[in-house]
Amino acid sequence: MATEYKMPQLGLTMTEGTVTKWFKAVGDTVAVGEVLVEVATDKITNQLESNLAGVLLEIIVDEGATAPVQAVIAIIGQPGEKVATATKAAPVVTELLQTTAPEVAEPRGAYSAAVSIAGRIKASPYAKKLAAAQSVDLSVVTGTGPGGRIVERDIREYAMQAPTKASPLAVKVAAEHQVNLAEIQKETRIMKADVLAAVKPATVAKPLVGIRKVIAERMALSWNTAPHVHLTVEVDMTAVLGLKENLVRATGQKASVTELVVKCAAYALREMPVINASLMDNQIVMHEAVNIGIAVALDDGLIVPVVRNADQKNLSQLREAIVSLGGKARSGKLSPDEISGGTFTVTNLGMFGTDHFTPVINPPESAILGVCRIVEKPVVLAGTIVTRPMSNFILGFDHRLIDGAVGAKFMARLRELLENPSLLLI
Amino acid sequence: MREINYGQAISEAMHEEMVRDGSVIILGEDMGVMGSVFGLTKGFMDEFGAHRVIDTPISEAGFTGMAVGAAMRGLRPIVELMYVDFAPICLDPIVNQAAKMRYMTGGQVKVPLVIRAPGGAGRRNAGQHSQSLEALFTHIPGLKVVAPATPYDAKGLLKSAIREDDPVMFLEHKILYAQKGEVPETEYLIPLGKADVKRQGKDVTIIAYSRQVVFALEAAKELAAQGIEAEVIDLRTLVPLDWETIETSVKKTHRVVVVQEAVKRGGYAGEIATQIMENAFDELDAPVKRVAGLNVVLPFSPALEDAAYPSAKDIVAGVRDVVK
Repeated sequence: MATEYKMPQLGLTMTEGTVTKWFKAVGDTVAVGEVLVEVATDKITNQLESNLAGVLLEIIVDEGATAPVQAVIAIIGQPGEKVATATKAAPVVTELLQTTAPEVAEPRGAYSAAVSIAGRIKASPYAKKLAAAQSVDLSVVTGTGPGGRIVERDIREYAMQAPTKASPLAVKVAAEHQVNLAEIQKETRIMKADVLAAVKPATVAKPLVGIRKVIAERMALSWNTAPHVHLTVEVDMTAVLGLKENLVRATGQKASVTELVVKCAAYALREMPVINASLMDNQIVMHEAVNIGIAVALDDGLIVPVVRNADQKNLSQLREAIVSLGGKARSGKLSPDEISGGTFTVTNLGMFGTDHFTPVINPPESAILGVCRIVEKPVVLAGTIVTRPMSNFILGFDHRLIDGAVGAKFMARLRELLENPSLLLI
Repeated sequence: MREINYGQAISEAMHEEMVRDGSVIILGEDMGVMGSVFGLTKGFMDEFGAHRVIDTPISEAGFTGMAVGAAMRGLRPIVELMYVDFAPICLDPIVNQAAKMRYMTGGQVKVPLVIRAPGGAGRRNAGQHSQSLEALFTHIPGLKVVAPATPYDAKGLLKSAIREDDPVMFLEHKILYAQKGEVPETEYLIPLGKADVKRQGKDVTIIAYSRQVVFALEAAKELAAQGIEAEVIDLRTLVPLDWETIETSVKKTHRVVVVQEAVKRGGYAGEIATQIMENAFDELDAPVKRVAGLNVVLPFSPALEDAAYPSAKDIVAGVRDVVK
């Protein structure tokens, strides 16, 4: 006898499912437990086993089509069996998609009860009366009575959290504007005006243009083409900070950790050219120059001016270049030359207190160095716990070009240089 | 105030009314010479004469019918059925005659009759002498039904019942006869149709009558220890029912347990519960609960008899069911 195979309810909230794949064709034999169909809900895709044995006589809901829970999606029966015309409900199913589940289930007899029970809110008569008087929406109240019934105390407790009262008009307006009455702070009865005041401004759309468009395209390009790997090392910044102080004392000029980090990075890049390379048009391009981009945050975006030949500049020259480029970036006076030709980028979020992040590579570069804040931390030195100024450095790199071990070696070298800047003199 | 027991209170009520009104007579088995099996009419025959305190043969249908006739002719008879279990033998005079006469004569004939009948379990009197049959009478239009729980109420209500121009079923509880309570020496009446809130509470309403009021108050005490404040309504009169008192309490507590000793099936508790659901549905925070006797013939075995009708423990459990 032909039996209807129905769209199952795969979760409490599932009202409909989309058939994404039939594993059997009409005429195929189906055994109990055999995977028959794949159904996607808004949450998950499931492969469903048949609970029926026989021959797939008819597929009612085709691949890509959606049907409500308990709608017949296929007919399974005996070979050669004629499908009763009454079960051929394909057009009905499509039509029913526009309606809600309980209405759908109704003509299908036995299922209507279950569906309508699922949709019903169980509340005591007095709880309902109280809820109406206090404009409490029962669907948002959790019932603590027998069997989850909403009882008096549930309404009272909800009303204690939620505003005590709202006018019926306010409730209506709140529903229209999707305003949660509970979020309106008011001692007295909430009126329509209160709800309107709480209406959040509608979403505003503006065109994606200018620097934001460039950033969007480049970040998407980078993320979509370069498989990113991020490596983090923790560096003891004692020596760098000490060197910085010495420089200030010796030159009488300002100094910052940034130029020291750029100096060390440039030194390490010179030693490990593969980090300073690009993958372009199926070619690995090794760059002769070490041109380090410095990410500068602007009010409306981000720009990366480039310090050319960073490895050949001394600390004063580096500082001068970085300060100058930063100033130009903020005043919008960078020339095209100054924002192109980078081979590696340093991005520093330490000033925002960041301890870790995963920077996205600035294409066509292959690696980017993330710099975090320096923070006093307990560390163990020679068996003793002491505090040290520590900072995290993250290397984000293109795994197509740079292997994990190579990236790790680069970071080990960078740490070595930062912790022993005198090595730069060798 | 002085304390007397429930039986004495009933005795006093009859005595006072017989002194006050010469048309009041008493009929029943062993009511005269013996002074009734519970001693309620001791000395009455000597005081009022054998024409007012009439010893009858064992013939309930006969002397009840006789009393109906006497009432129609202007006397105010008090009939005692030794046990309410004997009422079924005289249902015709009660149901078809007493209850109907005033209506069917267009008010030309009154039947000022009181039928006193002790009922209830707990005395190991077995199936034919232990029943609570109030539902038979509450079902019949034309009858008033009273079921007091305390000596004070018993006296005041019986005096009113005797003065009532319609037939009254006055249902006593034999276990209560020895129950003592304060009863003033000065005369007082309690009107029929007025319930009494025996205990104030805010969490749940326990509606009871007759002996179950005693258990309900006991249960309320235990519930208070558990943090549940039960209001106990003693209906006192079953017909007419004091709806106002019930409604006020339901609007206050929103949860109701109706208690009766009688078997649950077809009992008066079901009637009260239904009235509450019909008329105060929106006030209910839980389904109305009945705590009642089991649907069985009352056993002779003490252990089984005690299990067959509600105790305070059962009422506590019933209340916990609706205060979940």
